[in-house]
Amino acid sequence: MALDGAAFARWWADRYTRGLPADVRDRRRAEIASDVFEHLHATSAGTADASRGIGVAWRATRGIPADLAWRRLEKRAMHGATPDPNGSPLRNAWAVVTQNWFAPIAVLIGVFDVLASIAVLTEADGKMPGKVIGPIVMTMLALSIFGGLRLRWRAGRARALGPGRAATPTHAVSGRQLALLAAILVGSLALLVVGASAGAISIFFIGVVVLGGSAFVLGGRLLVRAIRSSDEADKAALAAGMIIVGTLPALALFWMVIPPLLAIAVIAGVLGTSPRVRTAA
Amino acid sequence: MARRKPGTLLPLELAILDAATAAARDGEPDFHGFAVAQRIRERDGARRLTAHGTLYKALARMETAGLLESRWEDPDLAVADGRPRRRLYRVTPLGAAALVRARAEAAATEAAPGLQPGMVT
Repeated sequence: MALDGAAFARWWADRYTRGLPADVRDRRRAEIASDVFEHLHATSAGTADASRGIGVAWRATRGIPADLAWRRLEKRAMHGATPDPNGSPLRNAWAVVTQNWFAPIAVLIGVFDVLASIAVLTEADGKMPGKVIGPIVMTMLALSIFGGLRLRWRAGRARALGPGRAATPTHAVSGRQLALLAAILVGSLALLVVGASAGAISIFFIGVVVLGGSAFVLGGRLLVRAIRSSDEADKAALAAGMIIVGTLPALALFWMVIPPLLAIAVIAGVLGTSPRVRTAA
Repeated sequence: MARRKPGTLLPLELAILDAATAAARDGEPDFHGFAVAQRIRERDGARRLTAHGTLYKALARMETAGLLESRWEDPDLAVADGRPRRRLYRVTPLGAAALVRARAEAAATEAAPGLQPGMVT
């Protein structure tokens, strides 16, 4: 009978954790298995088998509403883009597109970056001042997107591989470094926009050089340190930064409407599905 | 479920922090789910242990809020004892501060029954 109660508790834990992320699912199942074991052994002295089994089953049964509420929260966090019943259809569609589809859109932008760099490089009588450096920067930004997506995927996979593997976190990316990166990005983006708007090629060119150089130096440094870091939050933050940086060329093409919209969708998706947002949900 | 005010603790969260702090005073700063359920039952003189769902949902919520931190125990220990691995929790400084604040608010409420905790006077 004791085993029946334990079997019920474990069966129920298997049921309500089904379909959740592997790390969340395995952790809850392992905790329940441990709890049931401790319960059965802690009360073994002087307690009948039937009483022990009923005690475990009753604890599991009483917790069902909380289990279901917890599952709902985890599912919502997992999907990220659960439509808000009070939200407008447009807003819900935006949430679904950005949070569920930002990765394919980011790949599309990355491919666009590469194709644009090839087009500039092979243009027969191109007059752009960035004939050489432009394609290099564009390719670097495409690599930044692909690298960021890969880093993000690997960070998610490491989380899914299960609890208990985490070493003591060593932080790789400080807030000051991120602020510096953000300032450089904003400054160079402003140069790009001003240069393109005013037709001042030299300003546009300076913006491209600052952006590319900064992305190369700072991004490379952060990349190496974050890859070495054992803190998944660092990797996720860096991955988000890399993807966002890679979308900047599409954002700079603001007069073409579609590329900047796609870039904004990617940025919203990256920020909307970051681990910090997921934790808070 | 009614929404609570930010920074306040639910009764179960308070009970968990209280029991965990008592355990730490007894030389056991790390606790697992069943152990804290037992301590809460003894502390409250209750007949039943906290339900699985209620307990682990609260522990997860408190960890997310930074009141607790957790880790898996060394698997070799569990193997040596012939039992499943325990998830060990520990009260963080933030959790300890929240408990102190909750106790102070409770004491203030007892001293002045007309006032509710957090009420602006």
